[in-house]
Amino acid sequence: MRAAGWVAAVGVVALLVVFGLALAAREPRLSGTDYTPPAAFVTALQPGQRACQGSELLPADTAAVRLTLGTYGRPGPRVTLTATGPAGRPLTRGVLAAGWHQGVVSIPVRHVSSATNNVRICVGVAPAPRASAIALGGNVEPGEEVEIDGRSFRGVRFRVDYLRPDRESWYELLPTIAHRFSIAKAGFLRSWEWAAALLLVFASAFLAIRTVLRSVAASERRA
Amino acid sequence: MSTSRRALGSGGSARRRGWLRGRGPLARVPRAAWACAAVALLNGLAWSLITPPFEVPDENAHYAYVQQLAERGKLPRSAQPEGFFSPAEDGTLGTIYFYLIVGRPNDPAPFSEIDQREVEALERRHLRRTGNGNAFTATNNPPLFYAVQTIPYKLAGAAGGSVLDRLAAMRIVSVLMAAVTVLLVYLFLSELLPSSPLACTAGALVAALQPLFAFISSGVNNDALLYLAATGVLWGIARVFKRGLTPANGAILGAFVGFGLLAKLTLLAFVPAAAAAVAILLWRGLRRHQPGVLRGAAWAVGLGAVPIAVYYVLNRFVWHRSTVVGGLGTVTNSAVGRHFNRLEELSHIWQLFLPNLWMREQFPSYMPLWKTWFIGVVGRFGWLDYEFPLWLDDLALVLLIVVVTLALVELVRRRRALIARAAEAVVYALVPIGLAIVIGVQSYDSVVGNGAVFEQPRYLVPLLGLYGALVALAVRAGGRRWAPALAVAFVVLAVGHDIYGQALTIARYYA
Repeated sequence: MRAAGWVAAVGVVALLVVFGLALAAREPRLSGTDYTPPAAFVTALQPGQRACQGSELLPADTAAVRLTLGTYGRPGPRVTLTATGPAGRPLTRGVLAAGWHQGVVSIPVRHVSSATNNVRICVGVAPAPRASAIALGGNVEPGEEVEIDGRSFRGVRFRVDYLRPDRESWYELLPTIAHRFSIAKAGFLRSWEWAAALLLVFASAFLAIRTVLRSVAASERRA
Repeated sequence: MSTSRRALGSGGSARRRGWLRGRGPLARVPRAAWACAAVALLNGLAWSLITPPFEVPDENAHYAYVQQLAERGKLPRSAQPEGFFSPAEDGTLGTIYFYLIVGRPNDPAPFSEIDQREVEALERRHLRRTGNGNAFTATNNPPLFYAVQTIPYKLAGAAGGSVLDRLAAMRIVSVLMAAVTVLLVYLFLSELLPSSPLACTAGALVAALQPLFAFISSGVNNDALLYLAATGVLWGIARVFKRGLTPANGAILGAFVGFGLLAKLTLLAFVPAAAAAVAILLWRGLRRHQPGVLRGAAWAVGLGAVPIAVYYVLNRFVWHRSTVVGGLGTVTNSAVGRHFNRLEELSHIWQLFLPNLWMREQFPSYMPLWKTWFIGVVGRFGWLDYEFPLWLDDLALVLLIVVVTLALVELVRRRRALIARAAEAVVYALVPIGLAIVIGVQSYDSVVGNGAVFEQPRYLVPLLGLYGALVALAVRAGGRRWAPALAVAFVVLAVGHDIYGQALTIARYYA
């Protein structure tokens, strides 16, 4: 029983340490997304041009917007991003200074504290001669459209991810995850679902280890 | 007259009390078995809360089947145009972004209160709960699982529940099936290794904490009842070998085969093993003039065959539904210009589960043994769109090698007992072979018919009982000195594996 007890103690401590360290990893975390798959570059913007698309849900607690941008191998030009509400009210804006590299790029924006639906997101490139063209990553989406300098391009949409402020560990994100557990769930579960899930995870782990230790004790009594 | 009736009555109630507490079969189930089942229940409930609605494979189709059965009292039928469930289900799938999340590991579940308000607005519309009678991939399934699920569906509906409420209630019933499955794993192991309760406990707990089993069983999917029935068949086989083909044991084996076939026809994979067990024990029993062995065989065959025969007749002549589930027949028309070839089919089945030795390549870009089965069973979740990092699969491979080695050591050490039970061992070997053939035939037909990949890791989970047996044998290999430490180590590792799977799921959908 002693050896089994030690194995259990060491095993549980090892699990706590491994999970504890993994949960401490700090990374940028999503506040939302527009669910457009970044399958290809769907829109090209020449210097001075601006691409806009509507029907975005600008989530609460957003401090940066993440886009997939191509630069045709050149250093990235200065890029501006604006978000305007349904009545044209400016909600937030941000600037990405020139010199970035193509790929998944985050543009810091003024912090947004409350969510707004039907938001229009516009991405603009600084004018020539110092700027070069960029491409926006997104997908072919029937029924959608992107407007470039007032001209409509149907059937495409660029991907927009919204990021929370700073880099957060899982510990810092826990209250947010608890709230997210309550969204789009059964009505009778909503408010307590996260607590129940957490309790059940620990209860099943505790009961499993207790059961095997009891079984060890019983087998030693029999012997 | 009244006295005798009273006596009968009191005898009946005493029997009922005995069944529950004192001397009945349930009272003889060891406490450890109940504890293992409780672990499966708690763990399954955790998975059911963590996994967002409809994110268990085909849950939308299985929900539609239950809805059709509960709302119209009819089984689903293929209907054109395909593409629509009921307005209530379609609306819910739309508002929870189902089609935007499935298969896209970077797209989370809805986050915002605005999304929640849209869900609530949809629920207030009380949309129609009947569709065109189609349940997509679930349409041709047998009805038993869905008939059971109409109970939580109706109960949640009677309480004014929405689609999401009904789904959550149905998930609880699936999890209860998982708990019974683990109870049966324990009972199977205790028939197999009666002198090693510790090994049985460890095997059943590791099975209870297998993340893919827990994930699939936490959703509305008829696999949950298939797993239960498949494990029940293993238990039934172990019982007839250990206790003889009595009428009661024959009935248990036959009943699990019978209702398993009404849950999912994949249970056909277990029929050769069950039939071989009955044939062997009937032959032995007749030779030894054992009383009741013929009746035992009759019960097994009757309860195993009659339900599916009745279902076949009703399905064909009353409900006018397809009687052959996709893939179980041979392909007549190929959409991808391939032709059915029996030899190639055998080669396909071999390569689906084993390394290619000399045959024409069936899977040129990957090795199913590793990519589909090993990595998948270690843990591929959602609609097959996220899995553990590769380092964990490598670690799992090392652990599997250790467990298999220990199990082999134990089998070699107990070779006399193994030889004495050789017939039983051969019957258990028929189970994975049967399952490989059932999956392989459908896989080949799918490739030839439309070029699609049919197989999914969850199709191996009916072997959960044998997985538990492997762990139990490995624990026994430790002998009196090391078995306790091995049992605890395996269970702690299983706990870590399971919690990692749950953490991965939370990260996938909520971060």
